This record gives sequence, structure tokens and C-alpha cells, in this order.
Amino acid sequence: MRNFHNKYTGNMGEDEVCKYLIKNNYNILQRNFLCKSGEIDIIALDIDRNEYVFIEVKTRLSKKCGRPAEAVDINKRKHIINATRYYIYINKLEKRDIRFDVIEVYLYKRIINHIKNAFYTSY
Amino acid sequence: MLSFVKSMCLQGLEGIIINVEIDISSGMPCWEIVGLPDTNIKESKERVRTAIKNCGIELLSRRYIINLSPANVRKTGTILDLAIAVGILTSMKTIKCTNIEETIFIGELSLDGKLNKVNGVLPICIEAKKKGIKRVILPKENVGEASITSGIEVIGVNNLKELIDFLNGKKEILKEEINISNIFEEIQEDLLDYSDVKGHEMSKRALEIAAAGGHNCLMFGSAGSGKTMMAKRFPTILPDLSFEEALEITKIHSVAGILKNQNLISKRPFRAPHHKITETALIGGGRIPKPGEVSLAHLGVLFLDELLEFDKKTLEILRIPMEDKQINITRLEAVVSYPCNFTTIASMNPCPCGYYGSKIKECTCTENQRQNYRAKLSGPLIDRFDLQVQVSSIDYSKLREKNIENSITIKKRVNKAREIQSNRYKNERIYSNSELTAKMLEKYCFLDKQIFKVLQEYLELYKLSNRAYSKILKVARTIADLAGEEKISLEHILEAMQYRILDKE
Repeated sequence: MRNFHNKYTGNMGEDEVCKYLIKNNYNILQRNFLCKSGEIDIIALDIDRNEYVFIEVKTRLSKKCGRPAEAVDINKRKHIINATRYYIYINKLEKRDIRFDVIEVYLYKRIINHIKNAFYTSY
Repeated sequence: MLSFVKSMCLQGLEGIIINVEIDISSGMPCWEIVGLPDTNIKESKERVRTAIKNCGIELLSRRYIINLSPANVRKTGTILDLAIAVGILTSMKTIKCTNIEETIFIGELSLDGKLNKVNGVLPICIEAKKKGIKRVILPKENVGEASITSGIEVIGVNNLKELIDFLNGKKEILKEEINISNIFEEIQEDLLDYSDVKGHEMSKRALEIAAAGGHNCLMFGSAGSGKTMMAKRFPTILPDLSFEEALEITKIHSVAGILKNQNLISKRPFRAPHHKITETALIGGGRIPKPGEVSLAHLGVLFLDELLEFDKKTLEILRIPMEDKQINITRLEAVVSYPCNFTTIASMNPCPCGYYGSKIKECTCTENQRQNYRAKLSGPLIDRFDLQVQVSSIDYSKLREKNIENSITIKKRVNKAREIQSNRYKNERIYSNSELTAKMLEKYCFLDKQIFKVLQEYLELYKLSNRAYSKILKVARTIADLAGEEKISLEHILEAMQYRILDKE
């Protein structure tokens, strides 16, 4: 039951984020990009800056588990980076500007917190 | 985009210009510092990144590659922060200034963009000037120290924002200049004075000679006889510093990071390490060698109280620096050479109980104990002390003595003798009689045939070493200088001879 609950929460958060991104002039390229090395929640194109943005969405229903961004630890980052590398390879984006963002969704407060440029590849 | 900024690192007292090359490009975002950086330089990327962000400048998600060339020299210290930050801002075109080829940037960044004080600024400025750099930009707190070097433009900045405005021509920062003569004119009053020391005329005379010629002096005598008291007052009679000497001292103190709020050290250093000091602390060392006590005492005094309480190993390590006036410290990662032209003043007791030879109290040590105690001081080390004086307790009747010569009078004589020496050795690149080399001895300490014969007989009688011979000559030269005489006479040689008591035993 619990698994289903978490997945549902996550999807809800991601839906909210997509709405937010479109409003802020982003093109959503792909959702839930999945490969052997990891998963990326949302891949979008920042139209203003012409940057490919790889977004990790973290959703929280309550304060119980701490800040959402705290959950993006070094292992999670490694997965995102490796998945990104694969995405770049298959789509030939080597010479484009890449950015990693983390978006926190506080469902209980209905707040979205967008952390741009959250991390670099040198962990 | 590519950009190049210059900075400087120190290896000992030698400066190496570091070219900070920065490339910002697209692709997987990362921060990489290459070119043999030490951990504290690797950490600087966090400081630089946060400082730039907190100045209100957005850092884009790009590949930041920072190269520190020459890449085969290990760089250490936080000194390169500013150069890295300026390089990044130039690459981002936030700084549009183009004439930074002849400028070096040094300074450590705080997270809020403030520039923090760094060590070793004076030697950096001197070396930079030698290497043809025209301008130095550094933290405001270091300006005083840096502006002592003439012929180089020194600009002190408070924070990164101010520097960006300055380089973009939006703000003027005035060049800092300092009046050097003011520093020397500051009169420091000493609480200690030689007029406090009753009796002990001979020891005081020996110390006067030591101060005038930079000779090493060893005082031995029973406990409580006044050895330490006299040694503590030694700084009050040391000759005044010349500007070149002050510069040399300040350079070392700057590298060691013990320059407090002074810009230039205007007094000769007096270092009195405790006898528990380790070998490394004494001669310098560490992974990247730092100067030790002998170098910090450069052109000043190293006072070793209770000489025989020092570790034997520690003492023997002094042999080379005492003669060479320079110490080479070799470590895996760096070979560094620091100057250490110091005067050693040492004091010791004749035996473990401290009363051997005293008129007041009887010694309770056995002959064996005494020998073991004295064995700690090796022959070669004794030989290096030009002046060896016995300090015995004075008669109680002398304790009420008045009208004793004060330090100022002695200092005047010392200064005069030093002046004669510095005039004489103008072309020899030395400062005092104690530094005379064998060749210079022949030139400046010429003895008449008769006088030489007396000295020769004395040397033969006590079987003294060649070093003792040259030490006697040097001391005699100083005595003659104190008397203001051109030539060394018999009287001077005879006086110099009596200061070698321990040799005769």
C-alpha cells in the first residue's frame, strides 16, 4: 500500500512541476527518462537561456521527512549524472549547455521551490 | 571563453609566478582545478563560487576548468583565490579589463566576497618586482606590508565587488604609499635596562662585544648569578637596523605568518625558545618547509637559556646554521633555503646542582655527574661560541652599587662600532665581523708579526682549533672597532683570548 502511496505522491508533484515549468517558458522534452544507469524525472529545455535542464523532483506531504532537497544525496546525484550522460550520448547534445536542477514540491503548503544549478558533475 | 590571470606562490623566499588559466565551456557542468594544487587550493573553488554568487553575479552551469601553470610546481595556500575569481569573471566578461598582464592578484576570499589577509606578502612583492610585474592587487589589510617595496604599484581592495568596479573603471582606488622613516622613528621604551645589573663588568663587556660584532656568546655560572637577567637585557643594546636588514627580517616573519600589525619590523628579533623545543621547530621544516626559530632570529638573537637542558640532538643540529648563516631544508616536495644569520646567546650551569665553582654555596654533585652533565655540550659546539664567559655571583656589598652604565650608553658605542663595520664591508655583502670569511680575515684582520707570535704561542699552548683562531681574530676586530681603532693591537688580541675559557679545560 505504502509504495503505491509514495508513487502517487511523486507523480502528483511532478505534474505540478510540469505546469510550473511550462508557465516559466520551459519546453518539457521528456518525463521519467529511464535507463540502466538511472532515472531522470523531467528533462526540459530552458528557452530563455537555451540550456538543457535535467530536473529531479522531490515531493513532500509533510514536514516529517525533512527538506525534500536533502534527499538528493551523492548517490542520487551520481545516478542522475550517469543517466544524463547517456541521454546526451543518444541525443548528441555534447556541445549544448547542460544544467542540473532540483525542484522541491511542498504539497502540504502548495509551494514549489526551484533550485537552479543545484550541482556539478564533480560531486 | 579563455582567460589568463597572474598570481604568485612562494617556495621558501623565492617567488614563482603562477599563471591561472581559466576556460569556461559548454557541456557537462563541472569545476575542475588542475596543475598540482594542494587540498587548500582545491577547496578554494567552493569559496570562489560562493563569493561570486554572493556578490550578486550569477554563475552559469558550465564547465569551469582552472589550470595553474607551471603545472609541475606544487601550489599551496589560499593565496590564489582572488586570481581564480578574477579569471572566472574575466572569462564571463563581467570584468572587461584587458591590461592585467602585468598585474598579480593575491588574496583569500571569504564567502561574502571579502578579501582576507594572507601571509608572505612582502617577499611576494619583492619577487614580483624582480620579475617585472608592475602592479599588485591584494587585500587591504596587507597593504601596509606590501607598500614597503618601492617601484611597484600596490592596490588594496576590501572585497570582490570593489575590485570588479575598479577593474571596470567604475571606481577609483588610490595607490597606497607609506612613509618608511616613520616606522624607524617610533621609540620603543624598554622596561629592562643594563643599569639594573650590578657588578658583572666582564660579562657585560662580553655582551657588548657580542652585540657590536654579532658574535655568539656562552655564559656559564652558578644558579642565580644573573646570566638570564643579563641575556634578557641584551636586546636593549643591539644595534639599530638598517632598511635592508629590516626588509630581510620582515620577509621571513611574513612567510611564517607572525607579522602582527606591523608593516616592517624595526627591531632586531629576540627569540628565546624553551629547551623542550623540537628539532623541526628549531631549524624549520614541515611538508612544505616553514622557517624555524633560527631563521626567525635572522639578524637578531637566538637566546638559549639553560643550554644543557636542551636535547643533545637538538643542540647538535645548530652546528651548521651557526656557521653557514643559511639553512637548507630538504623535504620530498620542496627544497627550501632560509637565511639564519643569528647571534646565539646561551647560558648554562656548570653542574646539575648549579653551584659548582660558586663562592656562596657548595656543590653537591659528584665528579661523574658533572662530567656527564658537561658531556652534553660537544667540543665543536663550544668551539662555535666566540665568547665564553664565566658569570659568578657578585659580592653582597655590590648590591647597593649606583651609577651603573645604562643601555643607551652601551648601545651608542655598539652602534658606532657597527657603523664602522658596515662602512668597511660595503662591498662584501656582509653586515658584521662575525660573518667574515677566511679570505676577508686576511684582508681586514691583519696582525703584526709580534702580535701574531703571541697568538701563535697561545694556540700552541692550549691546542686550539683553526676555528678558535679565526674566532679570536674576529672578536679582536670587534674590540678594535669598539675602541675606534683601525688596526688590531696586542691589547685587543689579549682581550679576545680571555674570552675562550672553556677551550682551555
